[in-house]
Amino acid sequence: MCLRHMFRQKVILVLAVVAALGVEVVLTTTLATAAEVVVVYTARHYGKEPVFEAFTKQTGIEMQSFDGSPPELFERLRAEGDKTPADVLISVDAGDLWNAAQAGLLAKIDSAELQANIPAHLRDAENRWFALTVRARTIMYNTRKVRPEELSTYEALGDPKWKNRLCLRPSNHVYNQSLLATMIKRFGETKVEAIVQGWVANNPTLINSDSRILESIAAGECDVGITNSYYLGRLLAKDPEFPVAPFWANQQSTGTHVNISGAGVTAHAKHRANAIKLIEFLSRPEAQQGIAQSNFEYPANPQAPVHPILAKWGAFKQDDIDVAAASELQAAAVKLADRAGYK
Amino acid sequence: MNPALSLHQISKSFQPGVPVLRDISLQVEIGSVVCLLGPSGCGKTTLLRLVAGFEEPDAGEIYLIKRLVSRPGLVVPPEQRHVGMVFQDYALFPHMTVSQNIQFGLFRWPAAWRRTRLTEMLRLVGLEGMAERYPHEISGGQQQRVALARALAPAPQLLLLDEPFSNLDVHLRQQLREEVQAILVQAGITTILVTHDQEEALSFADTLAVIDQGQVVQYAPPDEVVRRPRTRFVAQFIGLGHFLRGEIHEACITTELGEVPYTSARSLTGNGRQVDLLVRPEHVQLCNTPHGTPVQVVHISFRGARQLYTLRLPSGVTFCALFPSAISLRSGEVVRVTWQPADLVVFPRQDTPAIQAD
Amino acid sequence: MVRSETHQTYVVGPLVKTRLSGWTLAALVITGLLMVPIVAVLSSFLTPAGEMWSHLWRTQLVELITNTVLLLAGVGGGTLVVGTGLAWLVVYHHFPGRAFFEWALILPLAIPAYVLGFVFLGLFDFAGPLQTFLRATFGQGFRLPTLRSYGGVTLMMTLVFYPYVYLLARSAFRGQGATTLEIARSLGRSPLRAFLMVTLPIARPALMAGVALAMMEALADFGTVATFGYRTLTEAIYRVWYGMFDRTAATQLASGLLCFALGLLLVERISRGRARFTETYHRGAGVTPTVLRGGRAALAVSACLAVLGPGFLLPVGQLGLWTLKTFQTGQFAPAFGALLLNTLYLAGLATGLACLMAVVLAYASRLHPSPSVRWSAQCAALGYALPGSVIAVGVLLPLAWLDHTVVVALLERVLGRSGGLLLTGSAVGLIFAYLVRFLAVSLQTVDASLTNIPPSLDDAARSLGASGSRVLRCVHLPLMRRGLLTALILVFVEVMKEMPATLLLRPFGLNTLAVEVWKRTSEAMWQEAAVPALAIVAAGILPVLLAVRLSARG
Repeated sequence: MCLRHMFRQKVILVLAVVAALGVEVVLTTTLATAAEVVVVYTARHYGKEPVFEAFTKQTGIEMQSFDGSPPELFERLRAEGDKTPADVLISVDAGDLWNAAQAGLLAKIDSAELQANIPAHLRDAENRWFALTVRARTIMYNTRKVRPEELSTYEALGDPKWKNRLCLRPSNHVYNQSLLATMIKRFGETKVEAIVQGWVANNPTLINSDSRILESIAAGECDVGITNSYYLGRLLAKDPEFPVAPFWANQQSTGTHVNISGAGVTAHAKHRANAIKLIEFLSRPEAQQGIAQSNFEYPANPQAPVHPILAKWGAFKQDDIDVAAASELQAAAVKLADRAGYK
Repeated sequence: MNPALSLHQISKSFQPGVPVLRDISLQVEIGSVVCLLGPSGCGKTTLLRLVAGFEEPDAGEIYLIKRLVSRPGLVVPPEQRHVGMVFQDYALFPHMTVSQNIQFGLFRWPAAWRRTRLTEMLRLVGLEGMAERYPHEISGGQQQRVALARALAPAPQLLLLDEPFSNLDVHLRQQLREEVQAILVQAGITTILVTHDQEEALSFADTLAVIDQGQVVQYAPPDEVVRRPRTRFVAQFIGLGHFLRGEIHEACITTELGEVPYTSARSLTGNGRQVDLLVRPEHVQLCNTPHGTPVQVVHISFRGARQLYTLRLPSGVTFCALFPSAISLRSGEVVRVTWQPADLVVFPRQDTPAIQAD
Repeated sequence: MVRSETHQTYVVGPLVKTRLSGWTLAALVITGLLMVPIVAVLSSFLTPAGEMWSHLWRTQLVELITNTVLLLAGVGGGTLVVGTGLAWLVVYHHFPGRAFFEWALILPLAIPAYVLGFVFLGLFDFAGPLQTFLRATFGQGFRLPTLRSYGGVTLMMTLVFYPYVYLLARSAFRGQGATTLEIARSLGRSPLRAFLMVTLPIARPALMAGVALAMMEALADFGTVATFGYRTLTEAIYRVWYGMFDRTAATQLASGLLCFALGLLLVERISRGRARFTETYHRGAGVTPTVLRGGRAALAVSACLAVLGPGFLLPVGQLGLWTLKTFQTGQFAPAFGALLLNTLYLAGLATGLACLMAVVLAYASRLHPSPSVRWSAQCAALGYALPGSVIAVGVLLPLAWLDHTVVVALLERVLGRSGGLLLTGSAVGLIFAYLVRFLAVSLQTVDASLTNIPPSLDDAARSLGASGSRVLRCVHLPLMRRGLLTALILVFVEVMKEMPATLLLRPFGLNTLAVEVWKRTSEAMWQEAAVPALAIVAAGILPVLLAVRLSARG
């Protein structure tokens, strides 16, 4: 009895495995060849963004997205090579786009519209990727405990008066690594190492989440921190009384560090025309307004208006350094952080 | 009379209304070996566990050498009773050596005494040189001896054996039984052995407690239990035997196998009383004279030196007889036999205590 | 090679004599396949990255190694104490709610560590509701010790991983029965001492198997240590990989993790010594539990709740609340049914294969216990110590290579047109990664339950004429049913919770619940993450309950 029973189970199992794999093969080979599609590998996970639905409605092209973190998307693209189903890569950090371009994963696009819509310092010199939104990474402070006069630059956060009052994201996150990379490009390694040592000397509370940093500032665990602007936008939209405000750092010198979320067409895109259409669509003022407003970011296209909350913060001087060039220094930035003890 | 163990009206049930033990009273002499014998499910293991302290009685009291150890609501825990146990599966601690196993109960003893005792025990069970072996490295019989040594090492006041020889093959069982008996006699330990094997019980015990359905039906030395069983159950459970109808007359009982002289101090009511008599195979003899009863051989069972024959009477009733193998009868053969019982075991047709012949 | 009359071939090699039966061959093939990603990871050493190593050495390597060792010790010790203690409580005692707790204490298994992490931080962090309330009551200066520390991480991981030890300990205790314990008591030891001196040592293989699982999970985990800011070797892998774009150095670091895992396994094996732990296959009465009353019963119940509360009731409650809020605001996740189905389908497939392989491996090493077979089984289990992303890369590289060279050429010949990526484009790579990652779970469990079956049973069956596989099917598998079922649930739940490898290797169009959770938590959208997280937990509870039910009857 047990013989037949076990044997039967084995047979069923084998059949199931075969069937399952078969289904998968069919799925993958047919999916990518459906008509009028653009396949997007995206690192933007901000929930449903209506602007993409608007794209489909206007052009009739269906957008199929695959989510991942930037390094994972990079590995995947590299491994897939010329058989990749991806047409577009959307990332949330300039360094990743630069990295992908360097590895030959992104293709050159000749598009007058894109060149007109996106400023030169927000796109690749060789037109391999284009910024869609801009986000500032600046000093956030508790409006009840800190006056704006006390703040000035990123470097000044190393002042002893901020001891035990500083919240930072750990150095292993790409946002801070980009910040450090631009600082190195601006000031050189030695100076930046001293700056970071200053931060570390103030015993910063390391919290691995920008929104949690903001909540901690509001609750009083620390008084100042450095986060991305859109997290504050989200919190203020939920609670206009939220006691944290941005201070635009380095206005008298280099300008506030900004990063971008951008897109590029993959080198082996199967639907190249659709891909270009998508990026062009996203660069137009209407789409720019939509994409930036749904996540409280600054549009890359200077003609697009900003969200009221952002407008309230006022204009600020952006660090206009070539974002991507700074990314070359990302590895150096991480090593510097290690040396300075910034965990 | 200084009993090592005293049970007073012990009752126990695991489910309401289903008693496992009913009103058990027993006294065990110091140094004696008592066997609890009975069919499966009769409650003997439960009794053992009550004595060891793993169960609480629903009623009654248990005394270990005059000290009250169990009653409803009060149970002295097993670790304080100083009672040794040996189980059927030896239950040696597999992660400890033989020496560690044996010394397990000696933790309160000074080191030097422990070592001496270990050597003593190893010598007692004949396992010198095996001290550093692990249980999986020795044979079954050796494991059983280690289990015994482990139980005896702390010099317990009572030793409980729960079917300790069941796991062994026949030869080893026999050999080990004799050895263990010698050890127990030498050590002078009061022992209670639980078994369902009659031969074991009969050869091992000083006193036999036959248990049926939660009650002790007879508590007596083995030969008395065999020759003078108190109830039908005991008569049928111990030894081989078949019942034969008989009718009481003046000074004898008439049966199909002939007349049997019969006198009794307590005489039954009158002649013509219907009774059952127990026929033990060893009391049946072959005879050639016409005054034997003709019977037909129905079945032969080889028992080594002797053979067990199932014989059928003209009326159809069957019984058994033991004859030496030299007399080899064949199936279907008709022979004549006589029956000369040494002790007469008679029961009325209903199941009441027997009337013993003097 | 020497051929004997029977159909077993003897291989006389330079190192070892192995009887190559079908079983051994199968075991070696399985191991070979599963080692491919590990070899791919190790092959990173072919490319020198000395500069990276010297940088790490100068700045943090010692700290990282120390932290990793401390974490392992903490999690190992914590899960051992909690898991064994709870199993002891539940098996040997009777107290109100015992029957409920016996199976409920397994439930934290259904919760992914990363979910517990963000729930706890949300609740107990400085800015969270508890501390806000405490500050309002006791003054602004009031501060609880921070969760983002060694203590916090160890506590979190203990709560999530103790069920491994608990499950295996519980099986071991029940399987031992009562006789050894009763003998120990009759020899003068109190119930507690008897348990510590006899039951516990005999149960050691099972306990160590559980602790090894827990420790390997701790090694491989990245999400929790990153969230809590605790720096271990695993965290360094990601730092080097994502931060410095140096995949080679990252995989070299990952090989370091492998050394840890090997070390763990070695220590466990060596510590067993000569003693063998098989109990005589237990028949007869089971354990008579001690009845606890009054204060002691209350203590027992509180101990169970102290673990079950934070480990399961609290997170599920919080997730439930968040889910309700999400429903209220109307932001509901799309295509939930498809996600659930995908998750279950992947988990089911991987589970079946993992258990099949585990049985083959465990059985092969039992039938032919040569060192090479046994070590190959252990090597196959090493993947458990590697983070999912590392295994994913280890799988991706060889499979991608195969795809681009062999498969594409084959497909073109067969189909006449350019086909897609058969291996990396389908679920094959992902399932393969799951197997590499989780074989250890099924192997440890199956192995532990096989240890409980004495070799005499094999011999008995063989003497009755049964061949190797017949013995397996008709004798061992039924006896191993409890262990096999445990293995099945553990692997199923693990695969369902798995995130990093799934992210990297999943075929286009196949999203799972874990991916959804990640998408939202990566952008701090905790409330929205609650819906798929709760679904993972719910989908995990059912198999857990089912298996508990079945194993109780078995």
